[in-house]
Amino acid sequence: MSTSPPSLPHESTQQLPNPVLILIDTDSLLQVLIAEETRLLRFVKRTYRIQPAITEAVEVETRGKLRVRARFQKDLDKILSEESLVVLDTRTLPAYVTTDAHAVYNSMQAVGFDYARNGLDYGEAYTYAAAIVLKAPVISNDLNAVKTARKKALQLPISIARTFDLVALCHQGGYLQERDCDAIRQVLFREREFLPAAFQHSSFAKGLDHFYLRFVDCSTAITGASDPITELDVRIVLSRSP
Amino acid sequence: MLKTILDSTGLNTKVCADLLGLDHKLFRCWVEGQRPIPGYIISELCSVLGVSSAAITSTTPGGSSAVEDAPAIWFRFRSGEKLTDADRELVVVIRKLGHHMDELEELTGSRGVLWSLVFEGIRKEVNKHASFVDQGKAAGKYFRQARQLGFPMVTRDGVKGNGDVLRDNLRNMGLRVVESPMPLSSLEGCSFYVGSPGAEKPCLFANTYKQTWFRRNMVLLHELAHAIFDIETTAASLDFLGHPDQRQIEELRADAFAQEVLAPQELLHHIAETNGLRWDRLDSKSLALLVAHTQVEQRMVVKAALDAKFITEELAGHYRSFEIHDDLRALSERALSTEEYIETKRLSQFAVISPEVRTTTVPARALRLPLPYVIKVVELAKSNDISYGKAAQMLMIDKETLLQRFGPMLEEGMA
Repeated sequence: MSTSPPSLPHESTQQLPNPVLILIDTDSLLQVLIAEETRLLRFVKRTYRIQPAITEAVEVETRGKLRVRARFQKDLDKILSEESLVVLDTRTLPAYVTTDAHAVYNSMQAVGFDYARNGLDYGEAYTYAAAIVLKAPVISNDLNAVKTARKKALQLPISIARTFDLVALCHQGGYLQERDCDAIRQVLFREREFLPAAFQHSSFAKGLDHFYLRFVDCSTAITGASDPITELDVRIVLSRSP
Repeated sequence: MLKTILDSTGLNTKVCADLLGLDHKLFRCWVEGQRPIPGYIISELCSVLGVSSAAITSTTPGGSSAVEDAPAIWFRFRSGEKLTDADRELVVVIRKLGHHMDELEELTGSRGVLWSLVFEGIRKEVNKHASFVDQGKAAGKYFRQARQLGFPMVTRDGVKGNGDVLRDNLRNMGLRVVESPMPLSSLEGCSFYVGSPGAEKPCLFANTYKQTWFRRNMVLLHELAHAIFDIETTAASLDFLGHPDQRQIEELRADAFAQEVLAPQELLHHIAETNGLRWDRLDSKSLALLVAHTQVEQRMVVKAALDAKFITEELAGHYRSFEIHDDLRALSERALSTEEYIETKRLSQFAVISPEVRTTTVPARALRLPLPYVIKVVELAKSNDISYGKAAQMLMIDKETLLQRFGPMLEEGMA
């Protein structure tokens, strides 16, 4: 596994205060539930004070897809009730914005409507919209939606990371061992879920060298590929909350 | 208010959630006002239920007056002994499809509105004091002319007639045309408006279950006549299998319209002349040829020939008894089932034309989607004009099914 000093910001690295929220798209939330790794969300919230959130559209899509998988429904209910994950709506939004929450919500709705009208599905459209309005990163595995957004000249969120960026962050942050990460990889592989190219045919340990982490913890040595591999490889450096 | 509207549809909350592909518990929370209805889904609910967004988001407790104000279509589909749950559920899914078709038109900038001009022209043309049969004939003549329907042509791929161009012709006017098997329904065809309130379009539906393509050509035009003359006041037209109620004058007009469009006197004459047929000496092969060229079923060809006085009542009875199926199969690919057609043409079973590939999986009631609609959605996904997620949403399947069905046509697009 390659490591590099944490103090070397790459040109595609963003060193800003931690975002308040991180928006999760349907595909990624499903992966977290399928892998039974809701602890990833708890870690992010507890360690970096970043609230994992989903839009109403993602909640609807996820619950729709989980209709026949009651076990995952329960897990979803649990993380929502303990607020490891929140649904951004008119009731929850005021806790995360400093301006008029109603206006912010309306703005998210307007942008989301525009994105949906331009060819993104509801989950993608409203997740991107929330991320743009709230200047938050997104976790989504779907490059195809990015292609559509680009073709339609739609603004993209500040960062689009993958489920495995969360996994790798938890590993780099010392919360998950290599074997935990590989177990997640194997579950997702078995379930025919999306895996980044680096991990499709390699264990977590071997694949990590070819995986550019889009979230890194600034307090520990950075793992993974040292240079961006794709144009979406924009790194957000996170600092631990005191 | 959503609860009151649902009551008016005759569908319970659970069934409605299943039809919309939504989680029961979440949907019940919206219905009972325990959670706000997300803004993004309101326009879809408006299109499906046929009410304004204000009605859906209203928190005023609904009383009996609210039910009375609910869209008339649901009353049409609630009453009547022959109507089943399957029929009501079909309407929900078709109206959902209507919403996605509106989205497709917006995405492609191709909103068809010609239908309203054609309908208006027909209504002006028809003498309201004439008999209903004459009204149907006059309307049919106008429609043939306005939509440039002509004589069949023999091409390298066989005979091409009005039936071949009918569906595209109707869709190009902006009409919705849906054909799907409904084994549990006794409906043969129906027509009603779909789309968001204020921008509705007529939708013509034909049940394909145990029905031939030739028969469905007639059914679609029969429903078109209802769409032109009747559904503005009746909200929906319903036609059941087996027992057409010929006492109803609207049915006579709709039948006359369909016959005039598909098998007018001059068309029968033209086919007979160009193929050297003698009306008094038809055999099963020549009758099959007439069916293959007019592209309507045997019964209608015989009735049209009788109405045109090409044959006598006695001959009509004789010709109705002919078994033409084998001859027709030799003359027209349209007499083959879709499966046989795919085999004959040596198409892959995953070809878009395959019924399985066009069938929805997300709504609890499966619907076979129109071929041009499926092709257009897949093309847009392929060119990245819509995301795969959007394509799946529009085809009412999940993304995994989209990739299974259309994977080879779509470029893998994961990061």
